[in-house]
Amino acid sequence: MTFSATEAAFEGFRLVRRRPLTVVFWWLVYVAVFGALFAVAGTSLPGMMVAVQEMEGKSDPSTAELMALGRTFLGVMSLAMPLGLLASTVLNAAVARAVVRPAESGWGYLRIGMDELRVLGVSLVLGLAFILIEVVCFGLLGLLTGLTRASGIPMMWVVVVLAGFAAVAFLVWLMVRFSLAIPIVVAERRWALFESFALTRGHFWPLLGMALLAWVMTMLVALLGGIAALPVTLTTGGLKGLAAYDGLSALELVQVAAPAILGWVVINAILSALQLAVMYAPFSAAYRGLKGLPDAD
Amino acid sequence: MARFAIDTAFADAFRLIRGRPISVFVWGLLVVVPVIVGLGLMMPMMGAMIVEDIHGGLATGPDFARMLQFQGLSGLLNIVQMLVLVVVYTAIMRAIVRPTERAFFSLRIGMDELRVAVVGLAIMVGIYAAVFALGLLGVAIGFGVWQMGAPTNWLIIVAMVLILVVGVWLAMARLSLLAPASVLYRTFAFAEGWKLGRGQTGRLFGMMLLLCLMILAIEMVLVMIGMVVLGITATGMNWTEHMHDAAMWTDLEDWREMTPWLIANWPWCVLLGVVLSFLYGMFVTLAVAPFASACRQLAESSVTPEPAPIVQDAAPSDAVEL
Repeated sequence: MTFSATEAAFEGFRLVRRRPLTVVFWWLVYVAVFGALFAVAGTSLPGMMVAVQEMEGKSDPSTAELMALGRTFLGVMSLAMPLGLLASTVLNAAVARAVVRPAESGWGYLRIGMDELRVLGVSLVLGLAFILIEVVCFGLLGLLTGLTRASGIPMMWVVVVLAGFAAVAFLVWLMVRFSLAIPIVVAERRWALFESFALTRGHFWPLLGMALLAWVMTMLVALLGGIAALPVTLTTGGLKGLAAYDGLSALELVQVAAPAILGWVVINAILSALQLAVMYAPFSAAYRGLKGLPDAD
Repeated sequence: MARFAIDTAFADAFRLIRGRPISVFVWGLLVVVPVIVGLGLMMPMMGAMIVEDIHGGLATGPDFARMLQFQGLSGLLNIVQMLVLVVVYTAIMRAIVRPTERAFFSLRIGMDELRVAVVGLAIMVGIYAAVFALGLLGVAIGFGVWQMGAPTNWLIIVAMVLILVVGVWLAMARLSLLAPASVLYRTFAFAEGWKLGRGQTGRLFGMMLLLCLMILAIEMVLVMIGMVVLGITATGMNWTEHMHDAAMWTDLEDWREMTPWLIANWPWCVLLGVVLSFLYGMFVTLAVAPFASACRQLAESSVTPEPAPIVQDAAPSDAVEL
């Protein structure tokens, strides 16, 4: 079986057209997630904005400044990551379900069940495996860089750059080969870690092309969304305006900057819900095509 | 192998300009209007910021907020200009590959435009990524050959830069049929556009170079005409006084005076806008139409003729002949 990369790349738009209400459910999830994130990490936001603005004004920031920004980011991320992981699990499963089991449309395809547990498990295992592989690849690259520096042979730098390209290409290849893992888990209702590898054999380039197209389309959605949102951002000052309120608590921030926060949450939730559909639905469509399953339409 | 004629491609572009001047003007107007509106909106803000900067620098607070607004507006205008360009480019391609769809100056907002935007963005991202990767490799090679000493190292570095520039141009030529093919076939014609361009890179590259030279020559002629007109109309003007005025734009009032000046001279501004719109329309048509024409020519010549119908000239063996 085979699939059309350009056809599959459009699955997100088809999904939105087929079930527009689905996006409203996903939007609500994002609003809840952003709201929860603000509640737990809101106090750190103004400080982060101040750090980012200070950094933007400097062409050569010092290591100490970078470390400080990194610490602030890490603080926010440590709170955001567990919540983000849970939300992305539920949402990724919903996207896959919307394409491979289109009849189960209740609650915008959102569920909390065994599918979600399996998606969480597979995402975690694959995520950790990728981190490990990245550490090994870039560790070896670091070793090669060190050896090159020690050897004093300038032409060795060409080898370092080529090795860097090879590492990136290898990681991209792996990502593409494992890209159907979640659609398989949801469609076949089972733990399936390596089936994606077998299913994608001989389809690397169409899958890569499809993923790039989907990514470009998410960029377009972001651009168009940015234009639509700009009046609100300009009126409220956006999140950058929070820099003026460094030191306030989350509750105080809501009191002084409610329009900016609310505007950001609502707009970003809409854009995130649309981008979710546009970016991830194509992979499920590719699975459907490769398995020879009928279209959702 | 399918081929296209460069002279036909250029002829199609000029035929379009000659045959549909109003459309060309409207396309130009669409490109020019966001630029003029943008300038109109941003000049007073920019003026205020320049004046504040001169009189003590930008502080935080309301001034900083104005800078953020300026950045936001500038970003918005860039995006609007890009989107307008997509609509105009698609209209020009449509006018060449589907000439019967003439309504509303061939302008639409639909799937064709989405496809051209996606294809354009994909090409842009791809070329940027390739340039970044090749640049990185070039730096590594440059570092490697540096020890060879001058002039060998410089010769190698200059050669690499030239190869990179020519390579980018060749890549752009090779990919130049993807967008018109998407309009022609009404799909994301990555594969179709790529196949159409196979074996045509040299010709497309040559056409691209010729186009650049042609547009440059037309621009030079126009600049010369503009200078002659300016010379005639501005004879006797006290230039030193005006130059002095220009240097005096350190007061907010100098910037504010622009609006009344524009209102007082509106007929000239409108005339300039009309001329600029037509010129921009012509340049955009010249830049886009030849590639759409090449795409159409290649698609037409690559269509394999349908086999001739089988004529039954003899009765089947088991038939009874009368």
